[in-house]
Amino acid sequence: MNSEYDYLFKLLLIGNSGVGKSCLLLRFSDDTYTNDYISTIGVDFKIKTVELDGKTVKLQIWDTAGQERFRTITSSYYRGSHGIIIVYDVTDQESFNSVKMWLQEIDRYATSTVLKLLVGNKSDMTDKRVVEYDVAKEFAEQNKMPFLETSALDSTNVEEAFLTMARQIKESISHQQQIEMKSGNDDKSGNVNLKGQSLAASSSSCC
Amino acid sequence: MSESIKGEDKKLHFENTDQDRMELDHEDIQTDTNSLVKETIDAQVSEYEDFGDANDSIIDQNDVKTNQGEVQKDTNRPENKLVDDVNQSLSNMKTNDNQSINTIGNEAFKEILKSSDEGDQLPNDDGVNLNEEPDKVLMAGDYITDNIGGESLEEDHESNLANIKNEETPNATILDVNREEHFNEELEKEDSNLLAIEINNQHAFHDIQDNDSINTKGENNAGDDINTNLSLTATPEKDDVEYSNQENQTTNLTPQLPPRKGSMSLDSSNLTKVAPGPSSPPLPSRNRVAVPVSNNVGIKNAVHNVPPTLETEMQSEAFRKNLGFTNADVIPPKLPSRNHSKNTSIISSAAEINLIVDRFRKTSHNFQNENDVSKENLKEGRCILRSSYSTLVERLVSDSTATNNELASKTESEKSDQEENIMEIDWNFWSEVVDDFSKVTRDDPDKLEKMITDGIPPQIRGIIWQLISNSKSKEFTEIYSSLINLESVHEAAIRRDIRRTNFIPEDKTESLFSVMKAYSLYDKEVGYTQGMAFIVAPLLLNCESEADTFGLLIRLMNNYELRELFLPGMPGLMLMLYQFDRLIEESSPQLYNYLTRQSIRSTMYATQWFLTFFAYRFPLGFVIRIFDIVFVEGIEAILKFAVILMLKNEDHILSLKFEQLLDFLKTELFHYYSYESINERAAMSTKNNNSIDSNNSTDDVYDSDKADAQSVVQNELKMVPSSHSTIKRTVTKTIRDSEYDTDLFVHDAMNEVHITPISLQRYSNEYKDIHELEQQKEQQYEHMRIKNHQLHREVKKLEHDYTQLNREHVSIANELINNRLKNETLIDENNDLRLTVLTLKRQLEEEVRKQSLPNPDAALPNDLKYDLEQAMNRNREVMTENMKLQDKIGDLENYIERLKAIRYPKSPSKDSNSNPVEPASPPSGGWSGFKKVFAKPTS
Repeated sequence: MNSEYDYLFKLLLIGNSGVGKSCLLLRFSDDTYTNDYISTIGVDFKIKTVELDGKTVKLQIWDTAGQERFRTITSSYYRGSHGIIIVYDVTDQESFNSVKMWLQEIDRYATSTVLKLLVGNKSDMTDKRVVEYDVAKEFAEQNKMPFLETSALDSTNVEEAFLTMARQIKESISHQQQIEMKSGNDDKSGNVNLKGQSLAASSSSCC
Repeated sequence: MSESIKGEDKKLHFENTDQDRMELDHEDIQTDTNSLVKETIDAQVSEYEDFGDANDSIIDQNDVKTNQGEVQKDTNRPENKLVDDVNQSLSNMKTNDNQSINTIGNEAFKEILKSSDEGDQLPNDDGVNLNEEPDKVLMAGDYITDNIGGESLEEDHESNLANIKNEETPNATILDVNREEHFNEELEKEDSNLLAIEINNQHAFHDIQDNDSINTKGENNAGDDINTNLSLTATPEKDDVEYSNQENQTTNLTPQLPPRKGSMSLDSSNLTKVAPGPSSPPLPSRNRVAVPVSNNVGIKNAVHNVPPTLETEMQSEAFRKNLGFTNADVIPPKLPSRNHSKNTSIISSAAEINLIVDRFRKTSHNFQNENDVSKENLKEGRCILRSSYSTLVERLVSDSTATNNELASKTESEKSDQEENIMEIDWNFWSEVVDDFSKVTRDDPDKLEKMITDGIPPQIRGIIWQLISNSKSKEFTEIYSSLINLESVHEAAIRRDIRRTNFIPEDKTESLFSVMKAYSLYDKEVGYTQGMAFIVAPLLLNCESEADTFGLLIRLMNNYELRELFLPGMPGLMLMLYQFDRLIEESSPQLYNYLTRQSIRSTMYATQWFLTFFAYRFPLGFVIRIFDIVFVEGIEAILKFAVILMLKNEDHILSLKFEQLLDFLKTELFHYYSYESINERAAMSTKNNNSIDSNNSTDDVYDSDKADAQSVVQNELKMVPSSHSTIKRTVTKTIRDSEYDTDLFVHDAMNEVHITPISLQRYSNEYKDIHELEQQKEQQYEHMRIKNHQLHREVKKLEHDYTQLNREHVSIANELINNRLKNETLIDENNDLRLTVLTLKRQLEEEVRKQSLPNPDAALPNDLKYDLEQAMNRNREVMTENMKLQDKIGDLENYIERLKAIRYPKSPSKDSNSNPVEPASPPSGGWSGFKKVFAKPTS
């Protein structure tokens, strides 16, 4: 219904305060980096359009304040998200420990089908690293989510992180569509119904 | 609300007549107006008869009637002069383009009010008030005297309103004004022995006022109601009848067209609020300050202006306050019974309509609650501030060449340019503020509001802030120094955010950190919340020491209830966001609906405004000025700025879609006040004004802005792209204060947005209800979630069990099948076996039968045995015989040998060979041979 893009995905960035969520987003959307980026109060918002397997995908990315107190505000943004990126700081053990808590938040506020991605930021600070790649990788596998280490500073893996997320969502959508198609073969009236639903869902997301 | 709804009805009712009138030519208007005035006067009189208070109205009616007669007949009477003036100014207006009659009217009316005020005050000043409500007097100290009557008057209005609510019909305002003038005139002519009449007049005036203000009812009691009313009508009109409105305004804005008052004048004046409109009363309160207050002369001077509609006047908060003060001294002695019935605190009712008073009340209340030591400390702190102020001022004044006197301050007060320099600062006023802030608040809140709106002089800003908020105290210094060396759990978080905060110069970061840390220790519940640093930074920039900053912060947090915003769960923020939503909804439903449709929530952009006092994205100049207002009016004032920004940018907002819109709201709202965009609008407006009619409005910055805002409405299509491009250009620039007209911003916010504590209170009550509901829902949801979780687990367990059972079932079924098969084979086998058994049985039976039969062969074995025994016996016999025979043979052989040896010693062998019977075999062979011989016959 909108010719600008084929898909619109809503992503959410969560993670402890100061892990570099905003920098990550800024690097991805504007390809810039500021060391002392103003701390996020409430929620922030950026748009980026990417090409994915020949399709134009518009990413609507919500950046949240990391401090726990802002949860009253940020928690309402979980529900509408297709994908949630949990960011921690590889130089900050505490931020990695909190990932578990963030996962609980997702369980609590997001829809059950939401896709997750674990990102360890500041991978360029090798001398200060405290969270090893393998530990995080294992943790991510246990929780069935992909894992990447990024650096907003030297832009390592930043684009990949967001694209991974986008690809995941796209796959899950096409997977769902396949299921719908199959069920449609079984039951014609059911097909019409399901298609209507999917259309409605995508229209509501195109705001 | 019911009043405003009724107002709507009335409006509708008058729409037709309005339309008819609108169609009249401009030339006809003067005469038309004349007749209208007369009509309405008549209507007024008849209505008035219905409304008057039973006792008072008898006299009043008589008075009024004669007055009316005079107005209509006697051209020599001053009242008629007024009518003439009205007409004259109406014609003025026609030529004078958009400059509104309201404006002129406001001034004139205020003069009148004041003069009546003066007159009335005299008899009442003799301690009547003090007798009235001693407890209140006690509570508020010396502060009350002026307010007392005003508040009770308002309450009286309220009760009056209640009384006549049902009978109300739209009234002509002008009449009331005329009549009031007339009364005043009379008062001045006659003497104090006419006090009784005056009282009645005054009372009549109040009653009339009540009638009049029914349309605008909120004004007296709850100023916010008018906003609802206004916005409800204004917005659709703005869209649909833009052009016609513009035309109508020139003719209809006049107070002389009473029926319009219901619809048109209200709408157009709204237009200035909701959308940029052509005219708005420019700060009537200031004029009050500027023009010497007096009697007849005042009125005569004012005569060149047209009295405004009361409604228009009522829209000005300052006016309402004045009215309150005016009536303050009048009412209590006259209506003692009413006053007695009111037990509510006078100050609290004043605080209901004025943020400054509300804020002041809270501050003094907090001060009263302090213990004596703290009070002493605070007083001491105040002294210190005063002395530092005076040294500062002395230095400054000695530097400056000009001396400040009354005159200077007055001319200055009429200027609202940002070009003030030290010489132009009204040091007298600020000295007054420093000496006794409470006195200034009480005596001249309008001036205070105006001065604060113009901005506190930067040199003394910190001092004024501390004085207003009562924050300087030894206590805080001590607390601060005791906390500064302790460790806080928030230290890391604070340090991380310090560098991510605006406005803070390198050398002050440590101070910022220290203050934040000390506060996080001081208030453990709040601790540290992101955003706090943005608020502390401007404080720090205006304070001499960290301890002072700390004191200010504590005052803001506790007394100003800022901490509510930062507490876990952020209840204060959520409330403020709700209030903001409601204010937007009431000021501009169109804007509100548009934002809702675009699914933009105030949490997305306004959170950062409120948590940082706009410091998050706005230039420092804006923020500092916002702080000025906040200290005087409380943090609720933030809402004013938020609302004005939204309203000013409304047109642009309505043209944007979600993403651009959100960006715009977050980062570009204040570009409206960049000089570039102001100039562009001004240029646009001059062009428009030239094309439409001559523009003789003052070259006041914000007047031209208003005019230009009107052009925005007119040329929306033209305007939007251009303003858009402006914004795009300015975005790329770094934010510098010098590029923005901060004064204009603050003035707009203060003068165009009216927020009353009572309406905020209403919103917060609403919010409480909603919040409670939400929490209940949330709890329910949480409960259901947990239950769902449990059920989910149960389902999973059951599913698991089920699959296991299923598996078991399958294996059992398989087993069964196998068993069945086995069974089959077994049955087969069984059958086979049975067959065999049968045959065997049969055979057996056969055998048995055979055996049981007499059988010839049966004896055979016995015979055989017997035979065998016999044979053996015989064999034995034979054997024995054989033995005997062998012995005999042996004997015989021996005999032969011997014989041979005797007879034939040479040929013994021949003899043995020739023996035919006895073979010459060894005895064994011979034995077996025998055996064989005997065995054969036995077998």
